[in-house]
Amino acid sequence: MNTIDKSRQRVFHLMLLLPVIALFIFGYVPLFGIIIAFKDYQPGLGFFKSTWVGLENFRTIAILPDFMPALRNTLVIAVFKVIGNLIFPVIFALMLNELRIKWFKKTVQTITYLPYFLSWVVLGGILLDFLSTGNTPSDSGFLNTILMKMGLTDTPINFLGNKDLFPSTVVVSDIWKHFGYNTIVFLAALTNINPSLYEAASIDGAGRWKQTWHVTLPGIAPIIILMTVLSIGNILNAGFEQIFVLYSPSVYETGDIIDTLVYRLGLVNQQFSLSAAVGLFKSIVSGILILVSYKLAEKYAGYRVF
Amino acid sequence: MKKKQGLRTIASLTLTTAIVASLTACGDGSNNESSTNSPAPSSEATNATAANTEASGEVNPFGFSPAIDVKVGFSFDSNFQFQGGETESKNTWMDLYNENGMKVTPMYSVDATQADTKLSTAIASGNYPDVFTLKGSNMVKYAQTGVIADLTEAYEKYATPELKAYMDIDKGASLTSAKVDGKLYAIPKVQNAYDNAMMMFVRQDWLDNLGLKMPTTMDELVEVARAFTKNDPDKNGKADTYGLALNGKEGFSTVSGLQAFFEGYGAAPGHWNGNFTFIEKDGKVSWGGDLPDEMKKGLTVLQDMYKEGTLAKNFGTMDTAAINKDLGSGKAGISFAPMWGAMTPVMDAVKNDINAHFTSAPIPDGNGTGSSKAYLSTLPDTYFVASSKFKNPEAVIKMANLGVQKLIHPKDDEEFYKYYGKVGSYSGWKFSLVPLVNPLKNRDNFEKDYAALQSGDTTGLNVEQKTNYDKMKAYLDSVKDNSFPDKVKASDTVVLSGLSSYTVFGDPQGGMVAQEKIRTTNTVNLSAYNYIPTDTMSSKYATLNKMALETIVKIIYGENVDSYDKFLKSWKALGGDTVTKEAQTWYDSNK
Amino acid sequence: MLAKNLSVSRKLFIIGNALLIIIITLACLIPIINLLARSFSGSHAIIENRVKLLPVDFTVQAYSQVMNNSDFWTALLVSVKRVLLGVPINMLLTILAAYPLSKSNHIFRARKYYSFYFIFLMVFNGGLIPTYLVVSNLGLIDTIWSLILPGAVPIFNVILIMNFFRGLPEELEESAMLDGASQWTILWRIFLPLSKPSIATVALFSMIMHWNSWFDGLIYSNFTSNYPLQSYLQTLVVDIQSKLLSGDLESIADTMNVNDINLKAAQIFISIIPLCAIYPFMQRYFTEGLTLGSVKG
Repeated sequence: MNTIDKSRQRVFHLMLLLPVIALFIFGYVPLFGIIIAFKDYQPGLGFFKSTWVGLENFRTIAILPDFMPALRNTLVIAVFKVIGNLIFPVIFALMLNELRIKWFKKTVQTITYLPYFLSWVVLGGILLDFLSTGNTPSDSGFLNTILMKMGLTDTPINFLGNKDLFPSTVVVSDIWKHFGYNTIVFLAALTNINPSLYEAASIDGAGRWKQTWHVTLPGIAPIIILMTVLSIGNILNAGFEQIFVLYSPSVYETGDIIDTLVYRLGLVNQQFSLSAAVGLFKSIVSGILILVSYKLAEKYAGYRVF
Repeated sequence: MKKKQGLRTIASLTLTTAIVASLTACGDGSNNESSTNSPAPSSEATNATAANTEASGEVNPFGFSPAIDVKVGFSFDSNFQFQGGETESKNTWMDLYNENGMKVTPMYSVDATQADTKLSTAIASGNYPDVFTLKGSNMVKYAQTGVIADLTEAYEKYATPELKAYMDIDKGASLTSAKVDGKLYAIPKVQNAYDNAMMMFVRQDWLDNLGLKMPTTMDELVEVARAFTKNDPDKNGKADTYGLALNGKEGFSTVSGLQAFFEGYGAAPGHWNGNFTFIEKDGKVSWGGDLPDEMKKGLTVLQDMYKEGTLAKNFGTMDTAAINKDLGSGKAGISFAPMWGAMTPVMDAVKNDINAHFTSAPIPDGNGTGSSKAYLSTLPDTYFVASSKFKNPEAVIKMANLGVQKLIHPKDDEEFYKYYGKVGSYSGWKFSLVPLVNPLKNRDNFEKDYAALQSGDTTGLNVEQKTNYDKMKAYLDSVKDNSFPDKVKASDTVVLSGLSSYTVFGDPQGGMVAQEKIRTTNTVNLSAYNYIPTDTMSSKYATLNKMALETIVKIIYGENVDSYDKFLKSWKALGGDTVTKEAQTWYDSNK
Repeated sequence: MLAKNLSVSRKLFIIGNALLIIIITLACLIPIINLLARSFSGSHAIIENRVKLLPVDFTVQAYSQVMNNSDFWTALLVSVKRVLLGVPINMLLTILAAYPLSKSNHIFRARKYYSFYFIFLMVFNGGLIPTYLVVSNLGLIDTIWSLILPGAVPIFNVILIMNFFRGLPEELEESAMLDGASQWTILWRIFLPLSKPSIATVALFSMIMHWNSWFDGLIYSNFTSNYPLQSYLQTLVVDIQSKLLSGDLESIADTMNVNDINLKAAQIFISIIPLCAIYPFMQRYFTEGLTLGSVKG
């Protein structure tokens, strides 16, 4: 048994060799460059000659008056995005699962996953149009026109220019862009639930809702947990490209996130060190969050994600 | 198994060492020649080349013999199209450089949006172009970190009288801004600050329809904006127009930026160049937004306009594209921009309403006659530099000489077309590595073309002016003989581009006329700090500018106007006082 | 299709469900239709915001221009090459990594360390300049490899497949080993065929990632002829304020040139067609279901 076991271990290591090397070269080696977060990096001086400044870069960002609001906005927007991007695709997958007409199901899936492929720059232009309040009575955007026609509102709603509405606009449009794509994974998991489990449940007298609750959801629980843990790691990335395209001074208060803040700082002087410091800060927080959620998942759901 | 692991460890260690070593060498070692704080020892290089040319007995201000290699990086806009049979490496300017012993090879050729990143990553990797372009703040940083070469001696030695005359156009102010620690590190692109002075543009045909006059005071502007919103100025029976368009998304911008409105009150809260706007009064330097009475007056007016609906309801999320759309589709009646502001909108506007006519005037007075002051910054935004690793940094001086020679003093029409550009044959100046044009070109062209249009006498017009004149004449003729509407429908490019130029150069109430008014009456606020931003300024700008924009927009939306005072206090405390002091120091020692 | 003996509430539910789905689908379809309409409209109409769902001033000029636009096709080819090379490499490395990692800690002793090695990189990365320097120093600038190698091991995909492998019964492996099969054989002959849906999902993700990436193409190319499609498209739609600073009227006129606004729409639309086509094609693999195990402890 021992020699078989040894050769088995050898094969495992061998299989991992190529991926490990690839990751080493393109993942770990550049990681050394993270020291620019602790330096005043100047391209002309390179890594080693740039002055060491220790935690100065972190301090600079932390004491900015806009930092706390930006951090808060980042968390608020990101948390709602994580929740929304989990709940909505799951619900949609459940809804699609009820469809029996194959070509309808396929068409819906294809169409809904298309917005994912339009970049935020392109979508941003479309959204700015779609959600605009218009400057004259006749030219409010599509959504406002419909809302007013339906009598739901008298004046156009300023989705993008009102600081209280902006975060919601950002979250909803993000969910809309991603849900079709995110549904893929959940739908695939759904179709794999053993049909006999449904039969058994209905024999026990469970109606459709009970079946969903007791069979379907537990069946896809692992994948939901997996996706949750992985998205939690992303919590400090509230979506730079999207916000950059959609935001404006009228919504800085609730829409400015860490990344847009750093971007504006870097406009005058290309501040590589500041970006690196922020990047490192985000990574550390992500790491901690992933670790915590991994442990929680292990403890309470008995599911080892990794 | 242990053996395998051991081998693997050795392998990975070797790999690590190799890669880290190569990183060290490439990212860094090549800078060993230049020490960190003092600029590159280019004097030796210059001497070597000097020996080279001196051997032949004379100084060659235009080139090298024997030829040298120059590697450069190109960046082109996605709209760019090659003209005639030219390519990146074969066009009038590359040929010119070649003839003069400078063999230019492209290190990279990327999209214009990538130019900055490409250059930064190239410099970081130690392998970057020999001659390139920089913005001010980078120029100082790169000079201090030994990335670019000291050009002081090369300039003294090789600059032609024409180049020196070019630098004298603004009495050497631009050249001074290109010096770090007293040494010259770049060839600045001199510009005419007035070309960037903000002015007001109005739909003259709407004024005519409603029997109104061009506003000269802010009160009049408010009335005109109201009339534009409520009284159907385009006479089409629909309530589809509004008064004032402002750029609330980009904030301080060339296209209807917020700052323009406040310039009517003598204030200057911001500028699109990303620098603090310092102005001076009686020797005291302060930030142009630190004029609470003036700013609050302007804010009150805008707040009322917003409430009434005469200021674009959507202004908070409108950017350049949105504003041009509204101007071009005949929705907005008033906007702010430099003298070129109507050039593009008018071509679209006439397609909607054949009578569309934009005229311009200085921004109206908000605080009594003469209170409107256009803010002017004369700081160049483009600097041409040479790499500290380049053996012949004087090449950038020579290229500058060539630029001045061909673009400012071409010897005949043919040369003008060849190097400035001709649609269909040559892209011209777009390929020049140091394109220095006459900063007063627009003014000269205006004076000549305007007079020619009045008199009909085209003698004395140079090629560019004649081309412009012909276009504008074609437009005017088509209006006279009533073929204009048809030509517009057919999208006749000559007539449309003539119309476009006319709004700037030919209209008695055009952009240049307004610019001249501003210049001759000297109703301007000159930037009091005319140098590259200091480190403090660079680090504080983003925060302070954001606060300013936020505050202004919030107040327009309805917040109490007095909250501006609170904002000013914060502004000062969060770094505003510090940067103002620095500006004052500079101003005092540079009077 | 609807069984006759379904309850009323069930019927209502089915109809309601379908209606809701249709509304949501339309919401996704509208921007695409708008894009399509713009690509067939006259530029002037687009500027005036007159184009909503139907083309205004119908013209095929944009598409004929695209046919002649060699930059577009060059970029498209780069992207195709990238997908054809990149996806197999991704899949190979992903599967090779996922299989050992899917074994339990008892069976694969060193698993914990490898796990950490992979997860760490999901969270920490070196940033723009260091990564660029590595790629540059390896001489990969302007090559297709700069687009493939840095992302050659997508850790998220590894985790997905790892979890799917875990769900396969242990007995499979045990009985195969009793028959004298090597781990390689088990992986290729037994695990893979059973994992078609998960492989298909991950392959789709990989394809999408390669087709959609634009930032790497921009920084790792020295010449625009090496831009993959999305990098090229990105340069079309992003505006630069700085051009307005030059004061040179020609540059300003260029910036405002909107004559090819419908051309941009056409190019963007064409770029999503392959993705439109690939999903239905991959669909048949998904219907077999994804196995995902719930592993205790």
